[in-house]
Amino acid sequence: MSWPLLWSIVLGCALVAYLLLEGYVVGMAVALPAIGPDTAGRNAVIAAIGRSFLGNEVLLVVIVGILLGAFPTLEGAVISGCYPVVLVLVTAVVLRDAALHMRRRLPHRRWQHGWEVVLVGASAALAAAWGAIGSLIYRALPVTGDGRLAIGLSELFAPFTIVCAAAAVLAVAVHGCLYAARVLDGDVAVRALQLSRRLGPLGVVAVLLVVATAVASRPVRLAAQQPALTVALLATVLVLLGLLTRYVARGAPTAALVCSGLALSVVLALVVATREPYLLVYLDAPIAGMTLADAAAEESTLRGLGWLLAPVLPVLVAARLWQARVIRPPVAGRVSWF
Amino acid sequence: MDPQDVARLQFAVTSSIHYMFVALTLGLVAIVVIVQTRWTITRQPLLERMTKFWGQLYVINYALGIVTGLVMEFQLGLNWAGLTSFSEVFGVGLAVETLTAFFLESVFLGLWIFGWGRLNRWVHLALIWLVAITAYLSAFWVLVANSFMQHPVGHTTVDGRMVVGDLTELLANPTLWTTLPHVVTASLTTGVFVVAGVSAYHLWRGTAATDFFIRSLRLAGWLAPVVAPLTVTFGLNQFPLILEEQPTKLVATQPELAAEQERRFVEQFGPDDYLPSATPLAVAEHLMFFIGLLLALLSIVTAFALIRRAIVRSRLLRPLLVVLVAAIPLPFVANASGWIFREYGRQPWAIYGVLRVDDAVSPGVSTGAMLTSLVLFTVLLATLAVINCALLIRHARRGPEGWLIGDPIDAYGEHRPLSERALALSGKDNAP
Repeated sequence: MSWPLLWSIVLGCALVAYLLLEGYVVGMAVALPAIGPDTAGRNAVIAAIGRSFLGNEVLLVVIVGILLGAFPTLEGAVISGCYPVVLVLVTAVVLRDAALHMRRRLPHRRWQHGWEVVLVGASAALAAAWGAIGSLIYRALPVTGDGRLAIGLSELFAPFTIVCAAAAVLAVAVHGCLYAARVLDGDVAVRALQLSRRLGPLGVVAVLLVVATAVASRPVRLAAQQPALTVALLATVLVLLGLLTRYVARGAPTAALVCSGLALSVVLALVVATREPYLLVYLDAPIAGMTLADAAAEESTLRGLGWLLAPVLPVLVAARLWQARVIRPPVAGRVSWF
Repeated sequence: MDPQDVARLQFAVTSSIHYMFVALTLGLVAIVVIVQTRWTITRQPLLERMTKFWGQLYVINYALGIVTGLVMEFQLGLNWAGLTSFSEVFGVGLAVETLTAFFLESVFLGLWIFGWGRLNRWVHLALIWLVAITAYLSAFWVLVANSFMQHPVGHTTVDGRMVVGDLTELLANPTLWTTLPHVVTASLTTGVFVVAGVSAYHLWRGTAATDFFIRSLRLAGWLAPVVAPLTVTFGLNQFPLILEEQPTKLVATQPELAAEQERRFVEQFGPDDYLPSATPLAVAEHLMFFIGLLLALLSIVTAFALIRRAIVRSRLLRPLLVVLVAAIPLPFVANASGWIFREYGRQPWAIYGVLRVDDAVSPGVSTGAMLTSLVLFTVLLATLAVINCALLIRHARRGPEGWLIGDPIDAYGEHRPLSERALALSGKDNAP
């Protein structure tokens, strides 16, 4: 196996883990006004968020770290190319974290409520930024003469981008509700399940809207190099959404959570796999796009990085699994820090 | 204004804010490690309160360290894509930092926060040790990347790009190994003087927890005379290497050597201005040096004043408590000056003698976009930094009497801190 392929597998694993784990954290925060209308409910939801987010948000830093180390060309192109969306993303993460860390530090109602508003808004903006970046990476992008991405207002505000951003907010909200229904109990869990029941059918509408805007847009059509695979993966997403709706109706949040997790992973796979061999597809340019070989660092760099990190990767996974075991149950009898 | 000026200003502002919290994180975690180790062995209740009190300040401070760090990491891609695509070596240091050190630090910290009362106390102690070890590993790998920018070694060139050559040479960079001890001791000095200052505040005010804070002050007062003079020594120890590798950094104090290096740069790269301006460098260097000496002196005086608790018992020595409170900002100023000296002194190079800052900026990003992000991040991070400092001061002033991290909660409400119940029962504002 070649080093670039190995590193892209590591990156893929980190992306899936980030989307699923941070997905429910962000989703619970987006759904907070609906599932925690009273103070006790909000405290319960945010305490559950607080138990998870320290170990989940670092995956974003890890993803950028892998990009910096193993795919520096892709990192520079995408992050500086999507400049305005990345600004929104970073600002959202900063505000979301600040809200979680600072809310409980003073006992005043208004102080805490203010940070709750920030938490909900920033989490929604974060999910929307993911959707927008995903849609921009997916479509064919205009480039300048010297091969830099030239993303302008017409790309940022294309119907496809906007629909994808909205769909991402909806997707994490459902995912977060299902997680809340699984780990919390009482009224909060009931409300979370009810909300996911209402949002489930909207998910199907969102998928159809994404497909409609994609078909109507030439740059998006150009990017889909493998139509058969695209259709198959889209059908899988719809089947998973159907299953999700059934499990929610039966009151089985855990099974439904598995469906939402799988659906999110399939969407990620769709973005990456259907445009083989390109990571970025260029619009009307002499070069068709950026391949894995173009994006990856030199062999010697990837090898050095591999030797430095190989012994540590199992430790990372083990530490994160241990944390999951310890933090899962609510901390009964102790002050909740978040 | 050129895009590179905006990008440089933004980097200077965000990294200065970032490092304030990083230095305190590195310093405080060492104090928490010492106190919790002693508590786990002796099981003295006072040491448990000390662990929780200083640990709580550590966690509040950590919040800003992580969000500002995130901005720093993304900023490299946003504004400095030229640096990362030209030199793969730089990204390697940061990649290893995020994966091995920072990821684990955050996971272990989460476990430490939520492990109170549910993990075996020795396991819980091991966690704070792991948090500390990974925090210092983080600092190490960031310095690997930074030292490469100061003195590029361990690389080869492929298609005009710098790629990893000899890994051992990269890790054996002499600049790294002379800087690391200085950064570590400077961070410890920061933590120690914050602990000393906060303790001195409470002792001066005569708050109830005298025993608590005299013990905290003793710990800090015992460590300070070790770490503060060492910081100065390790700092001075870097100069022979700077003279050899980066003489232009010493343009203020060694103008002839700097000019000689500039002549070599002109021969190699063509005529241009290869010297950073002398005044900011001289100010930063001297500020750092005099604060370092002052803190070293203060640490020794404090150590003597702590003999038989003289600092609280003798009327002559009590004003020293006020001096210690007033000294809290000094290590932060010195830290910032140190980094200004190191990074501004590298100008006009992003990678010394190889890549100019102008060529490291993201190509094609407009000045307008950069200005937007400069204003956005400056306002955002400065506001959060001020709020976080206010929270730190508030919690530090409150002392160990209110509810602390990991405290058991009352039987009345699941997620109600003790202080809220006290508030409800007494009706007066003694809440955190």
